[in-house]
Amino acid sequence: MLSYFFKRVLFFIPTVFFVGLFTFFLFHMSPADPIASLLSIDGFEDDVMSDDQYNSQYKRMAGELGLDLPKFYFSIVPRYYPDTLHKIIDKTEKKQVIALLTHHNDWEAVSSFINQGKFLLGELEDTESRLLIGDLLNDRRSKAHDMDILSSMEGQEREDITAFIDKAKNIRQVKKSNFAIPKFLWFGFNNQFHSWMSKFFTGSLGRSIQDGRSVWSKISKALVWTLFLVVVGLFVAVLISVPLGVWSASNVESRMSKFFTNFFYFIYAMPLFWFATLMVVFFTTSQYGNWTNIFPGVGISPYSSGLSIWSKIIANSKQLILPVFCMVLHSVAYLSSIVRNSVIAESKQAYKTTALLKGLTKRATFWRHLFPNSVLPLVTIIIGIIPASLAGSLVIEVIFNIPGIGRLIYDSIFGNDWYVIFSIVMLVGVVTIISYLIGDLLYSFLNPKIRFGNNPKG
Amino acid sequence: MMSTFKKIWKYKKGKWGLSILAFFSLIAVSADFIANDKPIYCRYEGQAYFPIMHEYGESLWVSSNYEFLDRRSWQDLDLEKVIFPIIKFSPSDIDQNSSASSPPGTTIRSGNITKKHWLGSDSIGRDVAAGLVQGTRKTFIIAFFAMLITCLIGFVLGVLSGYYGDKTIRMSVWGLVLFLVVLFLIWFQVIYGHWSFVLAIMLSLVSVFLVVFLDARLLGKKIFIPLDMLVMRMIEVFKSVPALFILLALLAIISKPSILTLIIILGLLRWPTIARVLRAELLALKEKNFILSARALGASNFQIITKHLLPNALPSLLTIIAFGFAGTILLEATISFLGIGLSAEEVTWGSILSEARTNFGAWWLAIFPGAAIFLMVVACNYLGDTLNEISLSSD
Repeated sequence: MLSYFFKRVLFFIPTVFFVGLFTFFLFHMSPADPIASLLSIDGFEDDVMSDDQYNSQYKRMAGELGLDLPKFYFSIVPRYYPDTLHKIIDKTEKKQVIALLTHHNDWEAVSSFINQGKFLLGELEDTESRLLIGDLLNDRRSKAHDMDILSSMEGQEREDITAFIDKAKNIRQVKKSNFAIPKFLWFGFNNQFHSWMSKFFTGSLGRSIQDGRSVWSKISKALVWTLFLVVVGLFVAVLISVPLGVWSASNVESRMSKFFTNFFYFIYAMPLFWFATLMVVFFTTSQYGNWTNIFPGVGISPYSSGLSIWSKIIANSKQLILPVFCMVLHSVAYLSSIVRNSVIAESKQAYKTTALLKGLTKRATFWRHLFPNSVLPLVTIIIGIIPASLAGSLVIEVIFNIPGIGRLIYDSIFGNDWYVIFSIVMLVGVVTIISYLIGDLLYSFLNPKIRFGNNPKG
Repeated sequence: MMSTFKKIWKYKKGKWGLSILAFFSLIAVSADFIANDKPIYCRYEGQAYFPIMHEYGESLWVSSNYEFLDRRSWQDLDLEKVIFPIIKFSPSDIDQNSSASSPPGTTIRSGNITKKHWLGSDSIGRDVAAGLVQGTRKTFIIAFFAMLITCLIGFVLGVLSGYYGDKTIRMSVWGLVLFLVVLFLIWFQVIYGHWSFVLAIMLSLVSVFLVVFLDARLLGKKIFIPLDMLVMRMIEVFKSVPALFILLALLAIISKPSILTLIIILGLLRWPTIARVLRAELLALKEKNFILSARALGASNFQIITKHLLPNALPSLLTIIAFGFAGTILLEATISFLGIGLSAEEVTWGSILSEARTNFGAWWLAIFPGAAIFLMVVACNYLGDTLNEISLSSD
């Protein structure tokens, strides 16, 4: 038992590592620039400040967010790459540098070209020539265009630009080997992934790029609503579905039992979002008759400030009835059929006959033998549907406008708020892994076969 | 295959499931002839035209535009004889005459034609019935191809872990290291832009063959490759984030996916279930006597897998595929409903349903698309249940 326990917990670590790696990877695939968004929230606008000021603020913010660190513990790049490519924070600039490097495998030449280009951009005044330099840096050049500008210039500027154009021509000439020799760079623990993971587990998840509030405070506020929905939903569902399933299994032939079985079969096949939409459309307004206004309208007032989150839930309890009802009904449809099937399967086992033959009453046979055996798998199943009910809760929160985790990730997707999105994905991942772990351990604890030796495989 | 259909047909649920699926696939195939703003057949100035067929021709570059017609003006022509589809709207056709959502049965006259919104129209005047018909096609395409990808991945990984397992494939340590290094170097060139993709694929295949043929000759210690362990760990990682959340994270990056990207993303999500079921089946089957006899007769691994194992695992695989099909449809509908699926111009079942959320008065927007999704899911579940019963009874 103990070794099984340790084995399970040990597998927990690599799983979390890979889930973290996956979300981190997605985070870096995302196109937005969190630095610029956060700067504008803090009141540093690109067009109000001078370039130098803005750039220094940009660097400061990048350092604060840790975006100037290398991404991972190590990196394998071609030999002609510089060791410090991660210092270039701006994504478009990095792309530019990499494009040039791939074309012309000489870091010295490429970097001096880029530095001179930047220097000229700082020096030159008129927009035409600035555009030309920008185009040259980006490999978008029209020759006729160069000449026009050059003819209208004189002196030092003309010389500078001509020199730069020559340099650009030189850079454009392919100097590329046929085979890139890789080189291995080791960065140690001071990298983005490591700090991201350790920040996640210490609870400092950064700031939301929509409103600058801390991600953790946003998530923890939302979490209460989701936990409420999921936990209350599952709890009520279990309370209803176990007796229902047992009753239905012990009266298989009765008409009521058949009705319930079919009814829940269809409820289960009904998409949760359809069911919820139907409820909202038909039973929250009096548009379809006087009696249909059964439930209060959709929407929680999340900003009734000053109240603690629990008193907010109590204040909005009327609005919560319908969403909880939808979730409960959906879970009951699933769980009750499982309880029913499991009880039916167990009652076909030989030990039931044995128990009856040795003189136990039907009632005692049921409670002592059948019930424990048929409810045991339910432990894993209930814990196993926690992820599914998180997903269900997402849909419900969106439809009923409840400010939970699902609603938060949904809104964050439309606001490109990556810090929030990936913190939630990571959080949901960790919750799921932990719930599977607990389910496994609980099952192995409750199951005497495992509890007394006989370690199961895997 | 035929016998499987016959077996399914014997069950009541199976009959219903197959019929509903057949009905929907018929709609999906002939969608253009059921809902279209062009006539199927018409006579104009003494000549016969088949506008919908003609449009197929246009998209295949074999026929040119009708010259007498600018695209939206069928209603203004004096057609001598005309046969329209049942639904006289195209799904993205915005009806100018009644812009607000009109209830089912609303009749509109535009030009010489009377059109009827059989199932009503949405808030910008698009016909719901036409949207449902076109949505059927999209649902089928997405779910079918996504399941195809899922099955491919699931089959390969399931066979690797269930049939080969931890203790079958042996490789010499040096061979393995060399193989991985070579493979890495090849793909390194592709990533950093020195070689083309096709070259890399060819070279990778060559190195795979080299490894297979040369491995026996290589000296050094041989180790087992724990394929089963690797696949199971992969499944565990994959299962640890709910599919909807992975989907949301991916769609957040690819905003407004095309059908192809959606198919790929959905296809990558559900393989663990198939791999798991196949693994369990193969573990049980491969110890059976007929496999031993096949091996004794000199059958290769490939023959054993394709001729003996997969056919025997088919019933339970089909069960899981049927449920997976339902799940994929549901997932696609969910993200369309949430408004992060296909772009807004593409009408799907989920996107029509989502309009009910802002338009409580329009009950037809809530009922019909939801019913279509529901029917589809029930049909798949019925089929899955039937297949499950068949596989249980054949044991």
